[in-house]
Amino acid sequence: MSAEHYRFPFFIIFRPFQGFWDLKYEKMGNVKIAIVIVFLMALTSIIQRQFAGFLVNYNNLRELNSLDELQFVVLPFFLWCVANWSLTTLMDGEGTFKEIVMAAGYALLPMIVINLPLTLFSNVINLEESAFYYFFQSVGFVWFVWLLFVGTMTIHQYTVTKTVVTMLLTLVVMGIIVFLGLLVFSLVQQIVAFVYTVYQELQLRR
Amino acid sequence: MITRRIAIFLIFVILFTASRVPSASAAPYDSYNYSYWGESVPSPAAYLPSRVIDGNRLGVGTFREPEDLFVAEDGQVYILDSGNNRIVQLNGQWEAERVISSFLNGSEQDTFNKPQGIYVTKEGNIYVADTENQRIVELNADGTLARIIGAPESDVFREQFRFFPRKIALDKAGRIYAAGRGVFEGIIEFDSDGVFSRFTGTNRVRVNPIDYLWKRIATDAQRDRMVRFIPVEFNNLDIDEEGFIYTTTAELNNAQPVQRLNPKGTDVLRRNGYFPQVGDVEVAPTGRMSGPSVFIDVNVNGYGMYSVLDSKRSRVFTYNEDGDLLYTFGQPGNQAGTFRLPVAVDNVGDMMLVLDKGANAVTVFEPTLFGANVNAAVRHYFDGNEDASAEAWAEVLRLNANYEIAYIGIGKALYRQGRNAEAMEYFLHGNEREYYSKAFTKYRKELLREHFGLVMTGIVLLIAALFSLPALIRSFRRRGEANVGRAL
Repeated sequence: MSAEHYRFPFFIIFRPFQGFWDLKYEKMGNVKIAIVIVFLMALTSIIQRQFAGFLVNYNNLRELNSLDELQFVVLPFFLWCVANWSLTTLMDGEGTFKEIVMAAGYALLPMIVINLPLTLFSNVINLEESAFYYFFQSVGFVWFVWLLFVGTMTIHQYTVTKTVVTMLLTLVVMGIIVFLGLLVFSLVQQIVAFVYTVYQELQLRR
Repeated sequence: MITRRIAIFLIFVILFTASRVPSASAAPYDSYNYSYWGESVPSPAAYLPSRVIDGNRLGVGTFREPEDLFVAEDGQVYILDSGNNRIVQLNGQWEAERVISSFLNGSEQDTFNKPQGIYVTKEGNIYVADTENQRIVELNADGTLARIIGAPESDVFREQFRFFPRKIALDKAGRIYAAGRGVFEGIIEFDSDGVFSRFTGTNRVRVNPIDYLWKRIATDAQRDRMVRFIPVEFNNLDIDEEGFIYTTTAELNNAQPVQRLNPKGTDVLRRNGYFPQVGDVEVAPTGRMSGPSVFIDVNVNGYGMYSVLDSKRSRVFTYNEDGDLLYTFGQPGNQAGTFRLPVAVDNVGDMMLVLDKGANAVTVFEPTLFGANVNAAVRHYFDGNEDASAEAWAEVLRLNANYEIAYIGIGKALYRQGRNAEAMEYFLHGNEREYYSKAFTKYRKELLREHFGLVMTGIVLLIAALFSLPALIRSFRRRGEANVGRAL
């Protein structure tokens, strides 16, 4: 892995059209780096929750669990990738699963770049200035959504409308996956309980 | 934080090991308060029952379903013994002073009929909401009839309107305010001559969107058979020194079951506490005692404090002027200090009285050291003595380190003294962001002034960094483009 690989994510966030094109056709992307970015993002969100200034931090710090925080970043990320892949295979998308992971991963970079300094900044502001904090946070988020949009459009070679529709549908599919997951979980739980009861019954009858 | 934890630990150690402390073990109910996070946190008892008064002990015969209780300004306690249609007056020593069971109306002896509300003026005139007789009776201090106020007369009343006054109160000008059964228009206000003047403080109609939709698509015939959208009636009221009316409503899921009406009839109750004044925050969703609290009485305790009585879980909640929950006491039961069907709450100085309709008795509660300190702190703050208030709060914290409002109280005093860094620490513990921000802004300014040289160096460096940043980014891009060019 050369230095280019580390510099490329920063190139992508400033020049997304060119960047995602290179990612797809010039093989400039790297899945490992995308995964690292996702974990950095998880770390950032944990740091933000824990260390953001009191005036903007409405979390109960006594109940903060770093592992629980993963479900707000890592889980939605993979859900997005799986849902987007399932959908785009049916909708003539040209992107592979690897490319989807890379596009979504690289798109998260602005949120890390903005939120880390912002967490520091939030410790030296008062309530009136907290408007800036929320403003920059939204800037990071809008930037992320923009990159995700351009990324999805480029790797699947979609039109603008189709990209928007696909992204909205992906959100719906994420919901469906979560629903099915819970359903399976609950059914398995019932089956396990049933089998265990039968076993217990046999044990006691002996 | 660590000192706080140690303090909490020590409190627990003291609470659970020292059984010699009578107050903690003798309380017939669990005391608690709600933290910023909505958890009920155990707390020392603020009030403990000191005596139970019933008719037999007074020697006037058993009470029957007493409905109301009033403490006059001179400390005399009037119990409205509704089932027996009489008024029992107690003196400061909790002895029966007199019993009024009838009065001379013209030439005949007249009696009450299931009266539900009583109010006594400063001069000792007794007003009784004589509910089933559909009138308000005023008796002179000596128990003779002064006047009878019948149903209010005005065009605003419906044809079938019948006047069943339930609770009454008077302001300083002698205006009479009555909450009536089935009166949805608000509180009925009479002028000092007993003539109806207006309704005040009408509850807003709350419409459920789904019901509204059904009503819109229903035919006229169907619509007539549906329940009408009507505002909720007030079930109790009290008046503070400034002539503002505190009211309660018993409707379920009402976001504002307690209101403070100004002379215009607008609700001006301050709701700056962690939670609105709805009684219990953590409630069971199902079961016998499920759902939100149902308020049945409100009492103005003075110094901006007021207590509301929850008839569902038989608890008294006391709030301060800002709407912070100060303490709770009481629970359902048959022991002294617990209630079967509490209907009225009032106070004699620091003591609280709760009238139990189910047990036909009045329970007198006296503040513990903890409760007395909370009261003292609130009073000092109300009077503007922030330092004295902070001292009392410190004492409160010594007894209960989990008492978050105390941190805010001390923080405010420190902030006033200009000790901003310490104030910030206290506001942090009290989760008070507005004041924290104020203290922080001042503290930041102080720091900047003290370390001017360092700060200036930092700013210069920052500006330099900001100026070089675009150049850095440009070089990044150039390299990126160069790469692309190479690749192409």
